[in-house]
Amino acid sequence: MKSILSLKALSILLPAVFVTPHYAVAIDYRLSGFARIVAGTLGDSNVEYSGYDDELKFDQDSLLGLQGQLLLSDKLSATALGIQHSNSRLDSGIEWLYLSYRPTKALNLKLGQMQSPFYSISDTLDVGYSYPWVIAPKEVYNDFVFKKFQGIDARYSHVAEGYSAHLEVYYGEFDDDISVNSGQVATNVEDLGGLIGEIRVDNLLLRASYHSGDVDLDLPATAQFAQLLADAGFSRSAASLATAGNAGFYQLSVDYESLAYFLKAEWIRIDLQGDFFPVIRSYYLTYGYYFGQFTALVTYGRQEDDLTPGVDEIPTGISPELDQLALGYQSIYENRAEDDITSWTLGLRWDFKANMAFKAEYKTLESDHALSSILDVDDGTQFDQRTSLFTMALEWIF
Amino acid sequence: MRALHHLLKILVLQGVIVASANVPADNSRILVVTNNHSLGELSKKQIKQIYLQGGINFPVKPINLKPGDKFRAIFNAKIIGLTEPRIQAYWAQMRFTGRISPPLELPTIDEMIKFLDNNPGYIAYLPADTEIPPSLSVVYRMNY
Repeated sequence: MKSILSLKALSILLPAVFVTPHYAVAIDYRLSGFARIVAGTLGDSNVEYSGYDDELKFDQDSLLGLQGQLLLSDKLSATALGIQHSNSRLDSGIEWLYLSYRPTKALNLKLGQMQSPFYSISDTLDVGYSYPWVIAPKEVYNDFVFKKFQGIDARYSHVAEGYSAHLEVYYGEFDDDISVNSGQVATNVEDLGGLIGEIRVDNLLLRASYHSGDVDLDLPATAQFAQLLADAGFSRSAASLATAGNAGFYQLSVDYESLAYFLKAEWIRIDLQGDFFPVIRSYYLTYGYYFGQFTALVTYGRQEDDLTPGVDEIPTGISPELDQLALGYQSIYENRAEDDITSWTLGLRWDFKANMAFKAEYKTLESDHALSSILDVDDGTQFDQRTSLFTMALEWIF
Repeated sequence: MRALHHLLKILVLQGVIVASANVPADNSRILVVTNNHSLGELSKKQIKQIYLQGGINFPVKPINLKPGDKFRAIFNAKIIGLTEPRIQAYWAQMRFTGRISPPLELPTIDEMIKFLDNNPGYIAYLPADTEIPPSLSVVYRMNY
């Protein structure tokens, strides 16, 4: 009797949780997901780029994502996205968790943890199926730009006969690790906010956005040395090593689609207050050509860093201690990598099923300088400032 | 790596040469119908907006046939102006941002007509030679 009862209880509970939404107590839901298996290898044995070296690696960009959406009413829904990365450097688990409220058809408010809307494809940087490349151009979609934030987001849409326009504003904070040169740095961003404008006319989509926040990077060695400089009375030198400050992020993108081809370009500029960090300007341009189930694409990418020189404040030749301090300061500044990188990518995508695609991509990278943080060269080895990456991916959405 | 580079080059060049059209060779026509009689005639742009933007400023919701259907391919090519893979990618993006849901998909023309009979406020496309029941109004007719 007991077992029948519990079975009965299950049969009432289960539909509400898993089975068809008709039985669920007026709560509708959607489950969807995406998966990608990405394999890649680099052409050089002494260089590392974005986690890849000369061995064939499957565990850098492969992942599985599962999204659940509870439709609580016509206007209110809750969304959770969990991602399991194969890359152990990246945090797996709940990526997004937010409530979405749509008081009118044109206005959408979100509250919780969601994607940070820096880029034209921020929403789907993990959903490989939705973009043409194996690895979305890293010059622009840089690893250190955090993908999520906690706060509130409002998006207003206006659809007219000839065009549609969207305006989005958000405000919140970020407190987690970011990826910097294959390592993780604890980062806190307060007063994070931004404004995004988007306009679509026929098959042309333009997006422009501005974002800003007070960034605080936890770099203890740099902070300690700055404190030492400050204690010694060199406040300008200490200030030039500040690892906290306001950051500005500017973004522009253009997408054009036709039945035969597409063009996509995105440009960004990242300004981090303080002398220590470079001003980063990056862009790429992709042309893709459709033929049947295939897309052939070519991408040109460029990243340019602007470094500010350090201050010349510490006198030398007076005492060995001061010489030491000056030398330490200089070496920190001289060891900053200036990443001026040019890349060309050739790719092929095969949409062999409605929800699956296979991609292959060959990318060449060239650095203007021998010292680069993006192309990470083994110490003491020769580097001709160029390398190439070959990647393949199987993309799936469900 | 050199050989690979070469291979990719050839593939890209061939793509340019093959340049197979994404539009079905079959010259079948479609028309667009609704069961909301207050709608009047619609332009191609308006229909595209209803299908891709969830009909924000129209009192109708779109219905689609399943991927792979001939008339869906014609509708994609002639009205939406995007290939099936691009439309799939677009919906992947929309789905994972929770902004708009893709149109409801039905397997056959008959089921589309049956659905329109029972559910007010929808728009759909049908083969041009379909006998249109009085419960539906034509809002767009392909003229080529």
